[in-house]
Amino acid sequence: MSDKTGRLLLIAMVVAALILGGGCPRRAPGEEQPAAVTPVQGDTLVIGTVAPMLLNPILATDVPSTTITDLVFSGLVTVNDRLEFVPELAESWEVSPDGLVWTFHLRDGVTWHDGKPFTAEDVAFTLERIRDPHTITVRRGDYEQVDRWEVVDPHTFRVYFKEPFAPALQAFAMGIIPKHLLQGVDINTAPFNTRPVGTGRFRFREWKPDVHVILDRNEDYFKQVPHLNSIVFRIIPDDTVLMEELAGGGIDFSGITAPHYKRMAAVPHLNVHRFPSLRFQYIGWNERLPKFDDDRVRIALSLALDREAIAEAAYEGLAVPATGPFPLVSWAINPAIEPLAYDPERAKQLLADAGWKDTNGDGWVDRDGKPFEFEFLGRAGDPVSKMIIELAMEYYKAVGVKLNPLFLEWGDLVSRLDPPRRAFEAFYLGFSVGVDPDVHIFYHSTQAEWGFNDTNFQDAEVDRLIEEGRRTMDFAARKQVYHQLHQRLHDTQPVTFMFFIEAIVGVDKRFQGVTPSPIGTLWNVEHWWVPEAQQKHPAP
Amino acid sequence: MSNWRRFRRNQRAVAGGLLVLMFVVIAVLAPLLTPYDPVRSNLPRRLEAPGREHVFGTDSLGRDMLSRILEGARISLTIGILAVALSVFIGVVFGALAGYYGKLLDSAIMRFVDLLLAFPTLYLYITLVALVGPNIGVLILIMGGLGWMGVARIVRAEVLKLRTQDYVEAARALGSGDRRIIFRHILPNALAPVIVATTLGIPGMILGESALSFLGLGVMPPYMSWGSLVNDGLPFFRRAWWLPVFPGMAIFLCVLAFNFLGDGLRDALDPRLKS
Amino acid sequence: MLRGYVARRLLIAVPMLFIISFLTFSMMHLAPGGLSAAFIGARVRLEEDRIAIMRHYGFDQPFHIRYFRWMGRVFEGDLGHSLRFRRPALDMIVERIPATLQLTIPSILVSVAVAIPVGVLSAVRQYSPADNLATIGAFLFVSTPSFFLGIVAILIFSVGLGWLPISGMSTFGLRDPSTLTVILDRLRHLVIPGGIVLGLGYTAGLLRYVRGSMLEVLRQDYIRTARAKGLSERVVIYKHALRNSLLPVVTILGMWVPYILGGAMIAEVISAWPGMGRLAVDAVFARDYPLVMGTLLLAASMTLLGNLLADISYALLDPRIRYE
Repeated sequence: MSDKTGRLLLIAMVVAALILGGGCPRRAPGEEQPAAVTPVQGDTLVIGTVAPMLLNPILATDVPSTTITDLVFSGLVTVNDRLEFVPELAESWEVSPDGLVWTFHLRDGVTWHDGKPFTAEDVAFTLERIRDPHTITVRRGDYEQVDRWEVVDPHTFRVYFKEPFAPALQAFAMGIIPKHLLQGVDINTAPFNTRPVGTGRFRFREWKPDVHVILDRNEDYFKQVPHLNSIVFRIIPDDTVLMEELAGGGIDFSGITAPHYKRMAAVPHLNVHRFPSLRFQYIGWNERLPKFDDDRVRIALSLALDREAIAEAAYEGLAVPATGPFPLVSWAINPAIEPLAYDPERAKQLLADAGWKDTNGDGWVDRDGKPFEFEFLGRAGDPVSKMIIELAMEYYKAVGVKLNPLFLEWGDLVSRLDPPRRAFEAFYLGFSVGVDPDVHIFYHSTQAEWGFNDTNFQDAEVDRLIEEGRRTMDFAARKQVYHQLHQRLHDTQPVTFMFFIEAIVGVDKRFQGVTPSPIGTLWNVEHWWVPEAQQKHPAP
Repeated sequence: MSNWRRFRRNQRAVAGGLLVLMFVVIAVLAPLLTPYDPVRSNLPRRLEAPGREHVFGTDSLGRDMLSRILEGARISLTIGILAVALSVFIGVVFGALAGYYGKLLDSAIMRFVDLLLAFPTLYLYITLVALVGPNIGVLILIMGGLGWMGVARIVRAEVLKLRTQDYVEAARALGSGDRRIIFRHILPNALAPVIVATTLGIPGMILGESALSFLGLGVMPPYMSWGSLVNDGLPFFRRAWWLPVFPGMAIFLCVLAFNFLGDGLRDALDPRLKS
Repeated sequence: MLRGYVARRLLIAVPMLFIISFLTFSMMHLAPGGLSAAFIGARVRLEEDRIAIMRHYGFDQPFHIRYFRWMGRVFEGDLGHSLRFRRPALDMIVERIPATLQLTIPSILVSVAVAIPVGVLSAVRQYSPADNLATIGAFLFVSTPSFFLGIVAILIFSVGLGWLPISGMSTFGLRDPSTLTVILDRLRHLVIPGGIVLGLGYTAGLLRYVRGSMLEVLRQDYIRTARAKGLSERVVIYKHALRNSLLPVVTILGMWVPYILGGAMIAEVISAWPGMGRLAVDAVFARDYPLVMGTLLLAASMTLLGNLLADISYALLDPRIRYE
């Protein structure tokens, strides 16, 4: 999971969902489920995962934690399998004509898992905690556009924005935390973070560190009450062992990494789903360095890679060359754009145009007496990244560019990319823009110093389009803006857009109603059920 | 019975010695022996089972496993030998100083040894490698720089024993300086245990590097060690068993050979075992 | 006299622990990139957030002040909060100790139980087929990377033959949770991490050591004297030789003490065993420095303690040793 975790709430949610699965086109009703069968209650879903950190939606940044908080907590809105925002704690909402005021009408009769009523005070409390500088959270940036808020009555909540902000709903999909349990408590170290209380589909039962987290069905859930009795997250750190557990039935559900795909697809008791995800992989070039601060060079470095061949080998064919940051299933993607095709000759020509030629005949292109070489960072312990980087080494060698790989653990990698250090030349990572296509934090020039524009990409046209996309409230007009933005990003290659990758998950065949969507396999887990005869775990 | 004859009679040790010799020859001549370029991918032929063209099969990028294992021998043995050389050098210097001068210097050095031994080795390796960033030089420095304590103890004990021997006393009486006494008279006589420690230290380093590779901290491409080859192959174990198994066998055989050799040398060189 | 000896050894251990703590603290804090970003486990977007976090953890203070503050809190039993889990590091370490002990102690006990008799037999019947078998067996196991052995064992015994569970410490949803089935279930889970990944290596190492030590003792003059006096071979070996040959074994067991708590990293990672080693590896990789410091400090203290215990038992067992 080479995602830059912990950005927008929804991104974390989406990424979490991606690791545990994503969606294929919605199955026609009745295709696999005979319509006559009614779901029955019972059984436990055992999920294999790496260890979660802390189960508080405003603090959690890692994939396992956000996957769990997404089940235990609810936001004002949620996302459905068609990537639309739909009611959750908020029954409905409206926007003022000037786009500045959002009013949420909250559902009546919702209770926390401890039985206390949920009100607009909880929503206000959640925003206050996020805004509080004492709270150690990466979410603050998501609410930069928010001016203030107001509790109109226990079931009406109003938010005032500084300027019209089209992506606003995304930030309100974040889980709401209970005021009555966290008021006056240091939220950073609260025991609450290890035994959370939410309003979500499942309630927390127990967390045995490095063993498992167990959730039980929330009988009082305000929408569809889950059919399954419980969900167990079993913590298994080694990927090879995790795959064996999935194949052996020790767990019922897990994401599958590309090297294991073909074998797992042949396991009789598993349904292996593959589907386009929201994720794209890219190579970031540090444009603070003169050699990468040249559109021609970056385009050449994109053209020099045969991405079709790399995808076939490293992702087992479960990836296609990317054209930009917007996922294939997003309305923002401009369908007219074709991915850059493999063209080493043009790559060499562009490098030569930029002054990079092999003048001393040593096989490496050079400029001002210095060969073109760079250190390329990848994530240690990820076999797919390693294959890709080894192949990239060969492709770049063919155009005279020398790539020196360095694989680092996540903490080290991030510390190199982050401000104020920015100590890198190039890196290979994956990311997901989220349900809303706002890419302000990645490619806007103001985000180069402290934000996530790690590569220091600066382009006035891109800046203008990003700002316009944020301001434009009319959907059709907004879509046009993003199609233009996509074209501009493609032409300037702020990063080398590598792949759109498919998510792969394996689910035990006894589970019915599994319809993965681009936002995750668990998005509708409350509808999953197991026929009585096949139930494996009796109720405790 | 001479040491050499005793060694020769030990079949296990001789077999180990021959195997070690073979591995060293492979490592030195690897570039001449590899049938294919070990880093050149050949995607249409990825994950090909062992056969006539690729005796050990091909890896996930279609590279010839035999060539990669031969090339891996170079890196694994280089790391093993250089790391041990470094540790033996440090160990001999500290051990001799401690044993010869005794008193405060001895206490200081030996407490330092205790200090370093107080850290679980693998833990210390991963902490340092993770902090400095892995490459072959760093691996050698860290494993060698933290592996000398045993040698220092052995050398110290030998020096303590030899220091009061008559011939050393005689050399001192004849006006030899400390340095000359240590290097000419004492250390040559303490050589046997050092040779044994060296031989038995190399397999430890090779296993250490493979453990680091398993945890993702091994050598970086374009270089490859046996440890990194095994680790790269683990995700493919069920689809292409030859990926992890052949380099795993290489580690096993090489470590076994060094252990047999070292054990045989110990039996042959240990004066206490002379009948 | 013994008391004085122990007191002196403990006195030496105190400054050593200080130096160890200082070295580990420096290692974590002076590394390139330091703590500037790794402390939150994710990426912070706003400059003011970063500064606030730095201040919250006291990272805006100079190095020596941070160190002394940390040291001061350690004396109060506070190892700080994990940067990723935001829980007290001490709690996290303590809650993992039982799992680690359940893994390492049985494997060490079984190793000792196997290695001592086999090693003695091996020495007494030097170069017999039994000795050769034991010796070669020991060499085979010390020559295989333990992670490789573990994965192969999982593939053969768990996946292939279905005899053993693949990973974990217990079966989830055991149908009959009586004490006996729980214990049997735990033992089955122990076989691969405890028996194969850890145990085979321990046994092989110890076996070589016992054999060598026994061989040496058997050549000593007093054994020859005993034999010359016409004592039966059995009395010679089991009464005189064994006791003395086991002395150095005590040292080895003392050296294993740190492994009882911290040395099972690879076994714990492979078998998803919820112990200290796994916690330590994760902490190092994430640069979660309060956890790294805590686990290192604990492991180092255990080692010093282990060495001390070994020395004391050595002194008690061997009448020739005086506590100078």
